[in-house]
Amino acid sequence: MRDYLVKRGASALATLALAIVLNFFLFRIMPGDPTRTVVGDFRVTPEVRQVLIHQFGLDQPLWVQFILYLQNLFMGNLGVSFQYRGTPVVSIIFGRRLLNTFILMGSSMGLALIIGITIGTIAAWKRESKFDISTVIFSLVTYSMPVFWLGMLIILVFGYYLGSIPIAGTMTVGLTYSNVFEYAADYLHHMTGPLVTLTLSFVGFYFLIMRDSILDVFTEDYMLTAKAKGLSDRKILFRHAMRNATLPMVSLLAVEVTYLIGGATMTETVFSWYGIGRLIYEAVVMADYPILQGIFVVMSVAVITANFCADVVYAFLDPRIRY
Amino acid sequence: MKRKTPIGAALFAFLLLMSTLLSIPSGHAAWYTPPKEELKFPMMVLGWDDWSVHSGEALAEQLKKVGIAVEVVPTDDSAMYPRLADKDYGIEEMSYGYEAYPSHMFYRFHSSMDCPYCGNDAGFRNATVDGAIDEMLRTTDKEKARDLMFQLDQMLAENVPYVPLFLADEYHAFRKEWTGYVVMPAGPLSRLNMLTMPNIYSTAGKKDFIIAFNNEPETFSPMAATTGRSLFYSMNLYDTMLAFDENLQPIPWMATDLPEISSDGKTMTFQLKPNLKWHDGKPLTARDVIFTFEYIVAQSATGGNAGEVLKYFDSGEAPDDLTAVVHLKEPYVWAVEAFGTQYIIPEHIWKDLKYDWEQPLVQSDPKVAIGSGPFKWDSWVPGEYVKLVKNPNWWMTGHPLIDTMFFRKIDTESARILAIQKGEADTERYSVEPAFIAQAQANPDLVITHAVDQWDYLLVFNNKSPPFDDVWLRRAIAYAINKEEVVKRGALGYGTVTDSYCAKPFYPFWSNPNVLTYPYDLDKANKILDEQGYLDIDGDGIRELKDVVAAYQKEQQQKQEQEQQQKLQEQQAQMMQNLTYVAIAAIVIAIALYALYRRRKKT
Repeated sequence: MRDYLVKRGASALATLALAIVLNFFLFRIMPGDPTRTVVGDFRVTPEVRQVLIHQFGLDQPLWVQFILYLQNLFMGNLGVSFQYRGTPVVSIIFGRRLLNTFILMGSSMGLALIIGITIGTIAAWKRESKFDISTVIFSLVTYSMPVFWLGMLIILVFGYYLGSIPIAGTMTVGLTYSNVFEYAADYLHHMTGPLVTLTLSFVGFYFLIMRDSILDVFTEDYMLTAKAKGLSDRKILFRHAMRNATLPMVSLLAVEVTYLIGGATMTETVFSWYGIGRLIYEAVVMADYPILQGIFVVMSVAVITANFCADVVYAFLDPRIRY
Repeated sequence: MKRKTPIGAALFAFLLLMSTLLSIPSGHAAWYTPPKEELKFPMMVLGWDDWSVHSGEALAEQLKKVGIAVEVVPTDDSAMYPRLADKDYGIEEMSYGYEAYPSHMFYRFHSSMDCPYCGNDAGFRNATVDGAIDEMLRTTDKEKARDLMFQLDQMLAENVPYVPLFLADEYHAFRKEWTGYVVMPAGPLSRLNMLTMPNIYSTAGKKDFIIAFNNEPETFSPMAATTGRSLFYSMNLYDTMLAFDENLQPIPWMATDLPEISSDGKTMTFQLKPNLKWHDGKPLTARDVIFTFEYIVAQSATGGNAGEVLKYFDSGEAPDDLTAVVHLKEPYVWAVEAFGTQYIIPEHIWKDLKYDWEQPLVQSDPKVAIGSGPFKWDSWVPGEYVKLVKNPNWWMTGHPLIDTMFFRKIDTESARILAIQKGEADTERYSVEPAFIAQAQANPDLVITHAVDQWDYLLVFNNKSPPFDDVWLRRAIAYAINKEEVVKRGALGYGTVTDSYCAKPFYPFWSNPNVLTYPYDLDKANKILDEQGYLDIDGDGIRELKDVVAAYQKEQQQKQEQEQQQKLQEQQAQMMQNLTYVAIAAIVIAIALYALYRRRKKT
């Protein structure tokens, strides 16, 4: 067991190192000129431009920039943003944006997971029934529907025509809250639209995987054994089938951790949800390399950690895994 | 079985990657190669700007009709501007942007601005034009300067460094209870328009005015703001000595009148209104005005009109609290506007504050937001809104008429329009996007204003790169463009065609009414191209380059001459042959006749 952990840990660290190096060079080989973002307006004089470029260290040779990058990274410094003139990237990422994204993505993924697993299990059990067919069709439709279009429809119908949800943002403009609950209520009210949109877009995927995985399990010998033992349907389904079928979901979730931090660019944009997905988009458009680099580092750390955890959890869940 | 450890493999991969990546050259190779055979080249358009892309497509179709093949290449900001800086392109089309006064006549055409990121993207160099620009810039008498501007415009029209296409139209949607806003070129809510915010009010008695805005503030510091998105905040928090009226002419604002200008044009004297106050209650004096200019120069600040202040400010003094005397290094035609509309900062706060790009956001230092403008800083919730409140001590008594202004962040135009229609916002910061204009106009709850916007779309040639160094080619292209059609396609009809380099709809004062124009005329375009030797010699619908045509023609001529000679020889040979036949026939006849004659004699 200890050997296994050490091996997994070492490979996780090596992957991280690789990601960090790639992260630096990826942005250096991209076409385009970050100095223009720094300068902002093309009408500034060449002298002012030189000053700005020097301030951001963009006149240094590549390897010097690389060493500076590593140095700063180890000190938890992700650099300063180009577009938000000198604001530290750490304070841009670890702030309201990350919290908003985390709450929105966490709750919609959680909700989608619960719904997906439940109806997936039932659909597999009642295979080829009307319930099964209708849920498969429903999830295929929501899964393949463009998420921004769904979001726009929800805004149009519920935000504009019915007026039951706000059109944008996470809070009512200019409102002062007398207590935390009032703020939470306003926040949740604003979250309804993006939450529904994202849950609908996620649920189909979880549902289909769960359904397939249960159908797979049904063919295993131990299911026959369970039946032969005279266990009730409910017990077979939830105790034996569902538990074993959830295994692939664990590795799936480890990959999907990226979304928790990376957010959903389209949904966040449609609902003006102030999150990381929107930040990534803005940073790409503005060639704001420090922000992109920062987000990628944080995301790779999260994914690698989550995968490591998944490996460990797997070892506990699945006795077939040999160290 | 012993397997290689994952660490070893990873380390190996890591080293391999490092060595390959470090060997990547950091400079970029040239993108553009000038055409060698025929008039066929890529045209860059700005990928994210639908107007630029669709206008480009319309242009490509039009130029095809005169035998010029253009391939539209949507290009990203970050790729486009470096290429323009390196002059690594042949032809491009996008919008540039007008200021309140036509300073672009210097930036875009003077040869000293033909450097990376300086403004003369066309790489246009012409000594006569340079001279005319220099003379115009030094003329402080506006009428005289205007005459010079007319001449300059004519010179440019003859040279066609680029083809002006159209100005975007500005349609602003307000909820109908709002009134008092002032519509001028660039619209009722631009950074050139200082009149709207103090004067807007609601007939329904609303005191909160909500502006939907898709951007976050980059900086609130008037010393660092370089884009319209940031300068709009500076404009409301800080005050200027002059403002612009509906025709973009300067009018007194904090100053009692337009400044007095000395006869040599190098000294301006501004008189301030009495009892001006900063947001913190301290008096605003002429010393603050002079301090602002000194500060910009001392710190090489970048915001507002800093560029022009840096270039022209020599020294200044404040003989009393209300008189600010500014000495210039040399006379400048728009010195009144440039210095008059610079945001004035308080000396008592900024004298110890270094101009620093690292802390220009108010959050890190609320002092940065102390100005003397019509609104005071209140709060900012990142990603949600910025809140400014009325400055009750502002010099225009009783104004602003609203209590609060909110900038509410809404990311997409479809959501912004819905928010305005629903009443969650009262207007938006920018123009309504074309696809939504008809819908907004049909809504009885909204009032739609109309003006020309400051975004001027241009078809720019790289004047240094053949074949665009040929002025006749540029003229022919100018004739071949149907601008009305481009507006229809590119801007869904919501644009105003421009015919000169200082366009009349935006600069009614400065625009030459009799300037040479290039009305749409396919015959003329074709005629010029034919005359200049751009002919389609291989019949594929695309005209070949002059040199290619010339070489081809020479070859053809040689061939023809050769053929002619050969023909002549053949003719001669034929003649000789014929002659021989005739001679033989004559001899035969002669012999026959002789023989006949002899026989007659015998008998």
